[in-house]
Amino acid sequence: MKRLTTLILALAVAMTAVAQSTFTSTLKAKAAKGATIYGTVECDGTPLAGVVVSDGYQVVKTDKNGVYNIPSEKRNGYVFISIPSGYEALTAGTDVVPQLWATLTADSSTAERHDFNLRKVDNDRHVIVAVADIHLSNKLNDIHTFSTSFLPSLKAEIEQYRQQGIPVYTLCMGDSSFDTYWYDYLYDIRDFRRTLEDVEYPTQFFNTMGNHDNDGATPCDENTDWNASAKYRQAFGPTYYSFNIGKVHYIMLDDQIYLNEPLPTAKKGKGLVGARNHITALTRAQLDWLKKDLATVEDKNTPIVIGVHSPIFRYRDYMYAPVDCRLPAEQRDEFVGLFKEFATVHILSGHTHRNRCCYGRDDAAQPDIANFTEHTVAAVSGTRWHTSAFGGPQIAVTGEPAGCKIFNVSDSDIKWYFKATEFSADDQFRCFDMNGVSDYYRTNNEVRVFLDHFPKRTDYAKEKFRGKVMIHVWDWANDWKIEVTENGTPLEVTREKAENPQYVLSYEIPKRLWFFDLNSASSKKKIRHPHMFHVTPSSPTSTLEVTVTDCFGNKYHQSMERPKPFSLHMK
Amino acid sequence: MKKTLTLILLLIAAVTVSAQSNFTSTLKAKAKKGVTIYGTVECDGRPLAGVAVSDGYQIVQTNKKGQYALASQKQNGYVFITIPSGYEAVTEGADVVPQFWATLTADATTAERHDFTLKAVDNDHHAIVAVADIHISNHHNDLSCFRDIFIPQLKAEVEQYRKAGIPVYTLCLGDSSHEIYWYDYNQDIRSFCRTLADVGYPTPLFNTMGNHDNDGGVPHSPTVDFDATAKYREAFGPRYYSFNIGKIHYVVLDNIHYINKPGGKKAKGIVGSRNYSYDITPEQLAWLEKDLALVTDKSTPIVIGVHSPIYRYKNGMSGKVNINLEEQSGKALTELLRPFSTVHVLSGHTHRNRITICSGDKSQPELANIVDHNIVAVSGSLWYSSAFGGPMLGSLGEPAGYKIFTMDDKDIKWRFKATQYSADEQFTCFDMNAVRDYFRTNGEVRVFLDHFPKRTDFAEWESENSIMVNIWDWCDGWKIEISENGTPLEVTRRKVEHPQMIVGLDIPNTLWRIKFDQKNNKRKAHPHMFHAVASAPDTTIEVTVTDCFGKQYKQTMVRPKPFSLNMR
Repeated sequence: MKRLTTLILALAVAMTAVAQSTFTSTLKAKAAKGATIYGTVECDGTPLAGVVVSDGYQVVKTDKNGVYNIPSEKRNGYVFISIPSGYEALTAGTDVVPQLWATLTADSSTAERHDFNLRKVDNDRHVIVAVADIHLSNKLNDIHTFSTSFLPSLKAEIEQYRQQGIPVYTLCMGDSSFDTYWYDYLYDIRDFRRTLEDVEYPTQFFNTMGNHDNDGATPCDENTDWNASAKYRQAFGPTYYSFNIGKVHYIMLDDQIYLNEPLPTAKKGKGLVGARNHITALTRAQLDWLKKDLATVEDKNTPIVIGVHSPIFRYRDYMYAPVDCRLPAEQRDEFVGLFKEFATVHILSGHTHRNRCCYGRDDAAQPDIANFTEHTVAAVSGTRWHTSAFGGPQIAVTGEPAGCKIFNVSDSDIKWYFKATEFSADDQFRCFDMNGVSDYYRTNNEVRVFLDHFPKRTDYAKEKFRGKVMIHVWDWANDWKIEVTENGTPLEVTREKAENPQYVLSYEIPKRLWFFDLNSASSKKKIRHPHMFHVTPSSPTSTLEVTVTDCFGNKYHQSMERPKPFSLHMK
Repeated sequence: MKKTLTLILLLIAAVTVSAQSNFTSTLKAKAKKGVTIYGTVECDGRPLAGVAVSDGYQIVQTNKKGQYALASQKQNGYVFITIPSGYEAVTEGADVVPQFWATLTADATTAERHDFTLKAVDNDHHAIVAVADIHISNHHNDLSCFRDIFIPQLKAEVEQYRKAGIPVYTLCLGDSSHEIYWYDYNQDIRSFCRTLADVGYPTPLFNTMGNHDNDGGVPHSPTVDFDATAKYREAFGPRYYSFNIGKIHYVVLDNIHYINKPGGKKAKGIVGSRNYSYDITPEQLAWLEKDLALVTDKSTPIVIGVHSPIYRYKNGMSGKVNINLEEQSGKALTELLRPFSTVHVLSGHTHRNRITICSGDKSQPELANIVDHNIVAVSGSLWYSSAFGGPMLGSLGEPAGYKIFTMDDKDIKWRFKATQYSADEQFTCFDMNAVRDYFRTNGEVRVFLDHFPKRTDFAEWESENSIMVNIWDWCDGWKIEISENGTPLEVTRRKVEHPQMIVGLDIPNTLWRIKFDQKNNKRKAHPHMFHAVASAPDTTIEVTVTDCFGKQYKQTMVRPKPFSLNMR
């Protein structure tokens, strides 16, 4: 009987929702000579012309009858469309993954037909929710916290846009699952797809593949990267594709090559056969497709938004230029060159569980990347759901709150803000009274034990930190401003990397002391946040006025009454 | 600068509060030839006669001038008194450990004087808070949970007795620290003594030594059991002693024989596997014989504090009793206790509530005077379940807490007090339909059962519409009645796993820690489970539990009642 239940559950798990288009059109279409994939694209019976269709290698457009033909070698096993502006792909039932692709079923020499149906929508004005690193894996209450904390907060945030009739879409920057735990914890990327339905995710969901969405059971050979994406493709379709919403052209890429080498350091886990290692790079096929895809965007003033998992550009010191390109050196010029005619390119990425905004224009030595802005977005899971499981706030790696980024798009104008899950959008920074932090560090035994084992970490008990105030601006960018006044007198604000004490309390202490992992190499190192600002007020009890102005002129303000005690849950 | 600060903090840590008596009397006392320890016992300058004084080997009594003299070999390094009825040992400042002993300072052949002062108190009616397994070791928020959750509710509880003029004392049953973490986590048994003062512990505390209060840094040797207690003795003094409160004679024993043979888990400062046997050393038994001989009225109730339970039901439920000691010391102890009409053993160690009433074992009539109260841990399960966002649960799922004994002359009553519940709450009711649904749909439960298939899969629960009641401190003599719409339901006592234990403890300890140790693949059934089958899923159920003193506890259970980690 028990076996039976397990079997039923296993079967339920296996019946993953499939988002692929199974639409059959009444429009006429015949395979052209040599075409192995053909079909139509329509909107409620009206053929749509000029819609871009691809097998991942070739890029074609529909004719005036809505018909497309691809003489495909069917290497990727699917065909997908680039949704045109003013339309939306359909979703089935409670599913939120747009039906923009169809899985191929015939052998590579047999022509097969796949049709697509779209619905009309006015989306020149639209909102993008950028999420990353959701990392569900059936532990640490992850699914529960995702559905009872993140989702209500997201639903409340987008309600204002819905009420104005503005369509909202989600771009997910990968790592929604965790390859290490796929088999031990009965949860792979296909289960994530079903979870989105179970929790009633509130918008259409365009996914990207993260390194942890690869199948760690794939042996290491020359095809590992492709083979390891099979379960991802089964659930979410193409690993690289594009679509248009309003005046913006969106491109989703897989910028990691999975190696899964059988290294001696490989962590053991059920089903795993390698070290699950990877490099940040684009495959040749993707670069070739990307060139063809971009060629279909005729107006080079069209803003391009690229979704990838692993950041491509970042400041070398995480603060200022120079900017490093994380693609292999031989890919850098080719990648950058593909976008040279485009005025505006935003890259959205995740992977690091940190908020980082990097402007290509800051690096005068690399004028060819001046049109790029990279937004690395802090993880929805924070630090893989650990801190909330340990009874603390949801905090991302090194200390900003867990959350997502909202992009407000009006024609070609793009504005954004960070939305922390456990804060309102008006909250963008946190002020630490270092006297409070210092008192806590002096008297809390677990902090003392932690510092005893990890002496390179900052000891805020030290006298030199007293009297100061530290302000952590969660999504700081180099064109933001911060002003602090004490009794009307401006204080000098210095920016200097510093450790976030709440990160130590909420993650490091439980993960090391509670899990008896006192030799962790990663915690032995200094861990500092680049978005930390410091002032030295004249009195320990004066009230400070802190004003942060973002790159759009939005002002965020806090009156900081002191002394302000420090604690795990301090806001 | 950092080094200096660390040094200062370490120094603060090193200056352990010392509870020993350093009182100097103005009464006269002189050592006769052969006497190596002598001194006086008094109350406000008035000498007290007939007070038992011991070095752990010999016991003498003070004369009418309050003087005592011991020809001691000073093996234990201390001298202690048996506090007489109607008196309290003094405590100093915020310290809560009674000053009933003094540390010896001279060599074994030199006479040294140690005096004791007591204060008079009417304690024929008194209350004992029995706590066990506090396990503070600077992780899992243990100290802040102890300070901010446990202590405030204990204070509120104690206050009720204080208001009624009833003195309250604590008997702590050991494992207040955890030796494997002493050096890595900068917290040993001496730090715990300081912690008691820091958190404002609300009553005097008589301590017992637990296996984890031994020093794992002492290598295995023939004398390791004694040597490993050095830090304990430094902080809390004797590891076996006695005292009288009102009409009760209390005895504290150390029934752990520490062995610490080489091997085992590695941790800073630990040199052995920290293993031990359940035994009472011959010198303790010899001392106990002398101590009990001084209790001439054999109707005096004897309360013994030990760490590990001694008398236990063989099947965990009732009937046949096992003696959980090496055979020789088990027999000897039982023989020493036999003349007394009432013996209560208070113990911890297991993190479970178990009352063993030995009179139920007709095959061992010599045990009929003994009741062993095994008491769930204050720490629950080493503070894990609360750190992981759940309730504080003992190792088999009952809530963490302690037991309060009220002693009125020779009359002894008790009740369990769960830390996160009021004293009027004594059981948890589960709607098994809800437990079944939770186990069917919760992904973490499914993963857990996939790895540990021998654990109970409540998704498969045998009956529809059933109710399960966990009575936290059930014992023979209690009653349970369950009725549905006024009709009594048949109640069966079962051994069943506690579903909140699986969700609140076992899942975090395996899935969250990424440790799938197969020792978890063993059913951990709770013996205090009561099962009844209702006629429908949504009827209201009345549960009435009556304890052995006739006190009734009631719950009205509106169903469906959802199951969750934090449900009550």
